[in-house]
Amino acid sequence: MLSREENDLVTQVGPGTPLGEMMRRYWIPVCTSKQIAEKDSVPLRVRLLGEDFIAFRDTSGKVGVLDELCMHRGASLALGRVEECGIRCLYHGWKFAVDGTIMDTPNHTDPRFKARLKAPAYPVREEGGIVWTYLGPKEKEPPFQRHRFMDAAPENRCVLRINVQANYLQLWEGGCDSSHVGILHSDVARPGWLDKTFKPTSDPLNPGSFASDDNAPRLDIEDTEFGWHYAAFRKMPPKDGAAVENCRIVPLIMPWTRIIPSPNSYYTVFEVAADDYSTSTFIVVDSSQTVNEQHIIKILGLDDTRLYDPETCEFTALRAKRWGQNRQAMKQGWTGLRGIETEDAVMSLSMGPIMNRTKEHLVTADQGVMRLRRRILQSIKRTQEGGEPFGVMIPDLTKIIAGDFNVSIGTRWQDLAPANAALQPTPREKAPA
Amino acid sequence: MEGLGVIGSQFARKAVDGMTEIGLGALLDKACSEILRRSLKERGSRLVVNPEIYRTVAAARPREVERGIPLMVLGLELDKSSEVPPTMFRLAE
Repeated sequence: MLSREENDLVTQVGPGTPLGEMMRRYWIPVCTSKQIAEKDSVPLRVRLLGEDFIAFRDTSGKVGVLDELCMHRGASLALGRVEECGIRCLYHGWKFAVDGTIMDTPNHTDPRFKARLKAPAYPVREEGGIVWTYLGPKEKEPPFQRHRFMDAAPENRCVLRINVQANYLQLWEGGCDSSHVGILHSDVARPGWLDKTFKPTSDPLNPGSFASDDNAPRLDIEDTEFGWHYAAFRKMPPKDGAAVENCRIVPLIMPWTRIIPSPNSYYTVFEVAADDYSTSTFIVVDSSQTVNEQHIIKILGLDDTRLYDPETCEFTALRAKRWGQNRQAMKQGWTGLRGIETEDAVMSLSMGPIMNRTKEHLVTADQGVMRLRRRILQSIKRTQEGGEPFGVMIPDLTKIIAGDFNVSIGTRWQDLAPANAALQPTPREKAPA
Repeated sequence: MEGLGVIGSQFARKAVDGMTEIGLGALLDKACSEILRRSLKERGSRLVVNPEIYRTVAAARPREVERGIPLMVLGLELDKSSEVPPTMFRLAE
């Protein structure tokens, strides 16, 4: 539970808000590379932290992120012509390069004008199948952060985006709430739950695949410089007469990322706040083996075209239609929905655009949720006091470990992921560009 | 069992930034750590907080207060004592 003031503090992301200013200090996922795959692409409207932008790929393949509205008279550049290494506004023909250079102003021919002025454009990187930008103060721009999936071969990775009409924190809290997995995702986490004949899922790409039928995991939490990580311990039957338990380690990386392990892949999930009421979830699956995107889409339930539009990336489940729930299907399955992302997204949508956390009744099983909020508040405070937000000065995040282990009782879980607590920020003067 | 809780003391020092925190969110997280650290028998049944914190919770749950339902927080009954500073808590029988 939070006070009303705290709830506002951890959910409001617009310009000038404490959280919004903290989030602007990180490199932010803008869109998938696929969304603007072609040279001279159709410009894509993007909303980030309550502000509107366009992303486009120019004739040479470079990507630009600009304010959506033309700096001249405010028409949307999403309607513009992308041609000859720039984007041209339809209204009066002003043309801009990816870096904001004004290339042409047909209705104002004084050449000094365009040389003096520049359109609002933002730094761009394209890595791991995602376009990234930085919206914060120029002097505070941090090093670009590398994630492990950026080193995966393209065929061993898939990148999906899902736009959900709910505040980012509702989705992120779900991601650090281990005790919901064996309940909400019963059909994949505990196959056989209906007739009490548990057998683990055989799909090694499924992140809901559990080795245990235990619905009351014991949590252990440790703060790290990038945020925090936890271990969820679940009871297991003895193995060869020895007592063992399942230990799932999940790192939570500020300001909105988590890594979920599956038996042979990792799901890196970014809950990017589009504004206070909507979120772009980026899910990147990477593996040492080929990743079949259609298979991942099915695991996540995103093959249901009633609920997800792959072209716009919108999750379209409607309250008026009970978010797509099939009550008949509940006789055979837990939720009447299908797929992990669908189930998670519907839970978040059902809370309303911004959950009122003054009303909730937390129990100790919810400590992951509590720690998440506390770390966000700490990072905001640190930023307001002139420090660096958590983790922003760690350029190499590739060593962060997530995992699912069967261990002897009493095993120190931190020893299974030693890099997580060891990662330290690089001083700004020594950070790579 | 009646030992004072840990807000602002050892747990605050364990935090990465070492800042002292005030607020309901931080208090609950710290209380949760302490509850989980103890065995079921040692947890007690009441979470005693400063009256100011108590008022914040009660204000958010007017219907429970009206109906005489105890304010339950982290599975324990919430109680108040002016001897507990706003950043601390106490677990009690």
